[in-house]
Amino acid sequence: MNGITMKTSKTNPFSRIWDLFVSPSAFVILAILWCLDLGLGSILAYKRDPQFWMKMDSLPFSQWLDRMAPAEWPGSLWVYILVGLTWLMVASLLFCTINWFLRRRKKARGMGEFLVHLGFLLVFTGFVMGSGWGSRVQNIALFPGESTRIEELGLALTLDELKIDRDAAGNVLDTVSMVTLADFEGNKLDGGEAKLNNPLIHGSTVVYPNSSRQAPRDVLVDVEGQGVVKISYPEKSDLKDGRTLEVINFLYPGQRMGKWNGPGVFLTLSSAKGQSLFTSYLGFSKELRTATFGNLKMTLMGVDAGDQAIFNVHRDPGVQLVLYGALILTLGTFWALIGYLMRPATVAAAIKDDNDS
Amino acid sequence: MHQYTLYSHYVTIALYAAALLSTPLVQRRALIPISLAFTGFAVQLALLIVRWVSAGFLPVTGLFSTLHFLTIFAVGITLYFAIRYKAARLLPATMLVTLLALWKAGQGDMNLAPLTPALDTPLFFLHVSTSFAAYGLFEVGAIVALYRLAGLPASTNGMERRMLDECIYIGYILFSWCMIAGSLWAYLAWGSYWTWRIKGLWSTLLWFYYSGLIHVRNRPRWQNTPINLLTIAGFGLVLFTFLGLGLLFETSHPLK
Repeated sequence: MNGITMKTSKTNPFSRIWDLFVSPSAFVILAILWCLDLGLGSILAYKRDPQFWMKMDSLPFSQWLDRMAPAEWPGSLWVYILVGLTWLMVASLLFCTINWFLRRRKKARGMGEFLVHLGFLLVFTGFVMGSGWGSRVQNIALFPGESTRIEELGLALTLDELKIDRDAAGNVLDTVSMVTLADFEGNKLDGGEAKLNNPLIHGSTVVYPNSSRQAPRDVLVDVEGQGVVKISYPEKSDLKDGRTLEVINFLYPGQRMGKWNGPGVFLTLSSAKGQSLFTSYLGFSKELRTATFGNLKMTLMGVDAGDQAIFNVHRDPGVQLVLYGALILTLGTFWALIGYLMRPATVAAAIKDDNDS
Repeated sequence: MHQYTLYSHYVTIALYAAALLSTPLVQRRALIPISLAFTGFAVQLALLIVRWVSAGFLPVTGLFSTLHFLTIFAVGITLYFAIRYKAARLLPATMLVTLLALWKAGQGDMNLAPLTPALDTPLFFLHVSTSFAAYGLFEVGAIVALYRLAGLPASTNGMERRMLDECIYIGYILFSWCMIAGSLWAYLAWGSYWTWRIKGLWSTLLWFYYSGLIHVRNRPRWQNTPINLLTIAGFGLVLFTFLGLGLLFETSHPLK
């Protein structure tokens, strides 16, 4: 930044305001306030809820600010202040960059600093675009061969293949998925491998594997007087009397929920009109294998479980700008570093050089 | 590997302690503490390389490895200043901070844990190495600022201001690369270059803090006491962001 004053600054009020905006001191004071707000605000938010970031990351920032921040008030006050201070800092940065261009552009050495400022402005612009017009669809669960429509993005995602890498102890190391992105007419837009640190990137849309899990595909239940009924998760299965049966949850081997131990399934019996009547747990141990749903006795016969991949799909229309901004910022730092290392050996000379330019 | 690590760890501590205790010699024979510190530095560097080759990846996760990594940079930078700017007087302070860091490192697990798949990317190397190089510079910068604040000469040819400037400027550039690499990595791993995780927030805070500092470091009005205090406070933020968050909070960069 350049804090030099023009000859007219003492008389022209606009020049005075301009000089205030481009003053390094103004930027520093804003930066310190920004740091104080973020530091204190984030610690308090963490103390209130260590997982606060999960809620904030579930939506693009502007949408979180619009939909969820009011409900968090006054806990979200620090975020509102942060937004205000960020805009002021960016304004200061913008004016400084313009100032440099108007007054110091003859100095090639300062080009590094100019590029850093420009890069940061592009990153910020991209962030604003992404937070305003982006979308995040999370926890999309798919079995191999299964497809789903992502209405919010106008896309269909298909999991073609799934390979789960495990270590010797059986812990999941990585989930390697072959996925296809298509539009609603079935036209393939993109496809390929998606795994940790290597998501499928299609323009501003990113498909990345979040995790994997075992989930039930089909559950076989012997319903008293009706024989064996196959329930394909997550669909409902019709019973002979018009009522329906569905799997509402699944406990993996070793998983616990209250008094129940996995593996097993929670089944809900609903009326023909869809009203939930009874819910009970069926497991594989002798005492949990059979349960009564009203007047119906049911026995768990088997569960066909399979590996399921969980995906998050994000669309960020500003991400290209952010990446270009980061590239320019990086180039600027290299340029600045080379210029710095070629400076006069004494700092007194450097300070003089800085202030005279 | 554990025995070798343990042995090297204590040899390093002994050498740095000897460098610290030889402080009275700095006035007249700087070569002795410099040689001791340099030998300790070489042992630490050898330990890092052996563990790196043995593990197949840069071992910089966990309290033990990260504190060793940080001290390698801090000692290396101090030795560079000691030779380039005749600033061997910085050694006692750096040695003291380094010994404290290595004492804390000794409380961590010295075994090499397998690399978690998320860290298996070149961005990890770039992100961590630039981050700790910057932390090392910020640490030495704070030590120089402390000397200036106390009115103690750190360099025999009056290059304290130059050293402070190099620490802030080059540290800032390295930290910028750390942030860029980290953001790119987050984009590839989590689908977003920005998250509201507390570690990311405080790293950004640190970046903006030094952004402010870098803008005033050569301004006449901010010279002497203000810049010294800001540099020392900056290292306080580094310590909290690196150690405080990693030890006291549930973060994406755990040290517990």
